[in-house]
Amino acid sequence: MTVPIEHGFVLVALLWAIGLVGLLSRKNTLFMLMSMEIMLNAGALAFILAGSLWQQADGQVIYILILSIAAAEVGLGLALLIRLRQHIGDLDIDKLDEMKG
Amino acid sequence: MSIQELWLLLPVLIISAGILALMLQASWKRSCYLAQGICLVTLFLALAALINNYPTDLKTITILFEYEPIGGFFSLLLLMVGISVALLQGPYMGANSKEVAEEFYLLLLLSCLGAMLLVMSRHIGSVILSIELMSLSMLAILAYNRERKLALEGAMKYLLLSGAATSVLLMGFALLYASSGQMMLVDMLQSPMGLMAKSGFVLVLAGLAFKLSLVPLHFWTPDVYQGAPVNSTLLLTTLSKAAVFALFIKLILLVPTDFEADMVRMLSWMAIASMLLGNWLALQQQSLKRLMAYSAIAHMGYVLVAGVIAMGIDHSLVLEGVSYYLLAYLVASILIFAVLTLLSRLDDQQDLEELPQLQGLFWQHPWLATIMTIAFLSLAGMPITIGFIGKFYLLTLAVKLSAWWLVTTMLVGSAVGLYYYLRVIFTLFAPAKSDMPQAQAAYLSKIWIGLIAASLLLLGILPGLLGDQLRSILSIG
Repeated sequence: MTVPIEHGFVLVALLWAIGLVGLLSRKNTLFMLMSMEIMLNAGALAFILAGSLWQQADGQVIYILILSIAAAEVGLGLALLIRLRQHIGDLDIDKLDEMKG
Repeated sequence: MSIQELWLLLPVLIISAGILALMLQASWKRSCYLAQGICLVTLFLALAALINNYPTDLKTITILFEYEPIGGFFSLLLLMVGISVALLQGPYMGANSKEVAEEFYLLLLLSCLGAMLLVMSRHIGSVILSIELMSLSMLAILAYNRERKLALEGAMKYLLLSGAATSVLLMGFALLYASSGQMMLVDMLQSPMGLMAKSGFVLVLAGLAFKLSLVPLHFWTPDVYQGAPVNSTLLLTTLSKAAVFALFIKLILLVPTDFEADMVRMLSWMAIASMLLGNWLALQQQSLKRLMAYSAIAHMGYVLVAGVIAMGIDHSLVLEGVSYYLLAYLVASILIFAVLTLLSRLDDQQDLEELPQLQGLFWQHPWLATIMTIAFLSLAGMPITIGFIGKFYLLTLAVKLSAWWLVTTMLVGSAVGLYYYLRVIFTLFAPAKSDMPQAQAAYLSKIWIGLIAASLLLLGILPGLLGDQLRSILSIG
């Protein structure tokens, strides 16, 4: 039994929405980073789906590229997280909100 | 890959070699002067290599990259920005800063590399890799002063939001790929577009519009600009905008005809909203960095007008207009931020950015104040500056297409813009206060800034000097 491609894209949309809701509603920066990762992975999964649709390996190649980019992004994010912790002793993003206007 | 292709890639290869050299240097012997020297030599060599074999027609380099005249012109602009930032970082940081010096130049070269590759990309893979190489190294530069809380706030916001925008970009490309089965940008957009491909294309443009801070996706701009050290803000407002816009216009020109009307409508609204909102919000700003952030939003709106027009009429004239306008915007931004950089220090908690702090700058530093005045006049589009010629190009094009809504908004936006630009200029010439900031004595950077300011005036007075050249440079004439 093969899974229809539309179901795959529904999964992608769901994953992306879960990530977005997490990014918008969470206050803890660590969880926001995780939500962002889910969103990036939703995009990556879409490439795998598209690749399997056309029976090409290109989709999976792009997936690996995205994986490495997401890793770099999270690496930088965690470095900023450590600075955040040293500045305010907390991971709450709301305590960082100083700039207005 | 043939020798010919390697030869075309020479500027990029030189920058990559410079990056390796800087890494080795930082591990062997730390010295901020040596690092700055290596960085500058690399950038100037890349510039020489680019000018030496400037592209005259489209040449492909493997399936990932292409080398064409417009990309070449954008690469020139990017290298000019890179050199300015590298020159300014020396005086900004000082000889004994608390922060490490070498990594800044490393990150600067990395983001230049990403930007130049982005301009040359013709494949989804190379677009994704180069855009992220550029923005991630820029993110590290934005939080370069680790003691500043505001820099941290700005960088955090940029990281989270740009991650979300990247995921939108990826989804868009995935949808386009799913509907066409092609990875090359040209082939991808030439196959018939269904609903899936159309929504994919809109998502891609949305992801890029975030980086360009066009209106519905502009919220991060002022905070990130204000938080970051001023030299990093300069890099963000010039390098990433120019490189991303090169890709943006490339994609827009590939839109198939049956989808054109919808795109024109969508992009027109974005341009109008950017011009109005950017100029309106800039009116109330006291911080010069925030003012520049909103003015960047407005200026990206003006450039987008050219993109909209490009879909309507023949491309060659529009490309000329876009190149000229972006050149004007980049030159003026470089000058304004350069003056601020020369008056600030990286180690301080705050840069010199509030308007009252700049009051009477002319009586203390006449040359710096004059340069800043010229730059603001150019941004406002006053005659005898290059900004006027840029605006003139865009207005002529918009009138030619009878896009009256765009023309009206541009005029209203420029009038509002004039008000807040003049406010800054009046502040510069107001009676001086007692405690004025000392400028750094950095002759090399000052000579470079002087050169850029001179070219701003020269091209404003004699636009034909570049205008005729530009046509042959872009080889469209």
